[in-house]
Amino acid sequence: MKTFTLSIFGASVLLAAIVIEAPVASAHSFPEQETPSAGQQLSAPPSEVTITFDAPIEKVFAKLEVIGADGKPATIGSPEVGASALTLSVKVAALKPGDYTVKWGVVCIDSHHTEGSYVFTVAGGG
Amino acid sequence: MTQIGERALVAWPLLVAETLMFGTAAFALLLAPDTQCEEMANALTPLWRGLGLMAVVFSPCVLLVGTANMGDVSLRAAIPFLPQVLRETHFGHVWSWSFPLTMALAIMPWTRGRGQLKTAMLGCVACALLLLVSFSSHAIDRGTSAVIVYFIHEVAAALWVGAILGLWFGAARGKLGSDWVVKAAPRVSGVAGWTVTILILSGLYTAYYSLGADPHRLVDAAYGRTLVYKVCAAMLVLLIGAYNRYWLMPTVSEASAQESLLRNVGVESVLLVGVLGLAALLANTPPAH
Repeated sequence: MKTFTLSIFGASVLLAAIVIEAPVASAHSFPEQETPSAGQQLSAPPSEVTITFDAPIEKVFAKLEVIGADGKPATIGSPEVGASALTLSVKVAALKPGDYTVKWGVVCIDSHHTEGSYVFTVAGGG
Repeated sequence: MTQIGERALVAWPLLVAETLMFGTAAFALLLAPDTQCEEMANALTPLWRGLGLMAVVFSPCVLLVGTANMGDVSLRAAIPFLPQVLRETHFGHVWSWSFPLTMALAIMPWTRGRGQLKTAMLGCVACALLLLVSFSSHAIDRGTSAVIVYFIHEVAAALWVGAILGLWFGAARGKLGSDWVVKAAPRVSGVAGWTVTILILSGLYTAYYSLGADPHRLVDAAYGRTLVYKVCAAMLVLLIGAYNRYWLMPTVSEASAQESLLRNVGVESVLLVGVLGLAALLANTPPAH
């Protein structure tokens, strides 16, 4: 009887926890939103690149680079982690038309490293 | 070897040490038949000494390998980053709390003193360490309730394996006698019943949040596959446990049944240490995304 009561209690607590929390398949930080986004064609060059992650990230080891088609970096200064620890942004120089690769690498607060890259395009004028 | 493999490999012995020390201490205090806590603690002391030393050796390895993984650098290149990681990261802060406790866990079994008090302190320190493990797990990304569920999962696993191993140690090493086994075995069986129930429920919760509602991820994602291996290994232990409970327990007072029971319990203990290895691997594998 005790086992049954404990099982019911445990099941209720877990059910409550599942209902209260929205299901988010996170753990390890992955981009939730990118500005500019992957594959986006921009008519005007952006002043900064920002990535919002689905889980908090550490300031230590956070990397964000924007690299032009010629392989040269287009970023100004170091990347910054937002107060919420969910965003990583870096200012970029005036970008000429062309393809740009964004390379990111972060450490989630669970201490696991993730990295990735994507491309956006600044369209030529006229 | 991959970084995930390296991290799991150094996390495994530490997890085994913390889990077994908490579980066996709880067994000695709460489950071993009355007035025999002292004898039980004496029988478990060599195990605790070995596990404590193992924890002290592997705890700095966890910090170093973790730092190397965080910085995506080699182990040697990670050394200069250690102060910064300790000062500025959540992982470093948790480790800073864990290491003194790990040292205490290693020293305690060597100290003189009353078995019951020493066992209680050892259990509390190991429990605090398990709590810190849950604070640096995947669960921390999902908030307090996920951390609590993760901790409950760890505690239930520790009580299960501790009860099984405690029974084996009491009988085989402590030579506490046939009557002791007759009294202790039903208690272990009872604890196994409700800890496994808790493990299933808390495991379902964690799996749901890590894999979503997509069963394909059990096959397609590395996290899903590792989870399947872990569940299969745990199922094997459960089958042996069921055999013990329904075939051997009714005749546990007979010498042959007791011999089979203790042999099976030894096998279960070894398998559960393997399950803890898969748990360490799971804790370092990115959930399906």
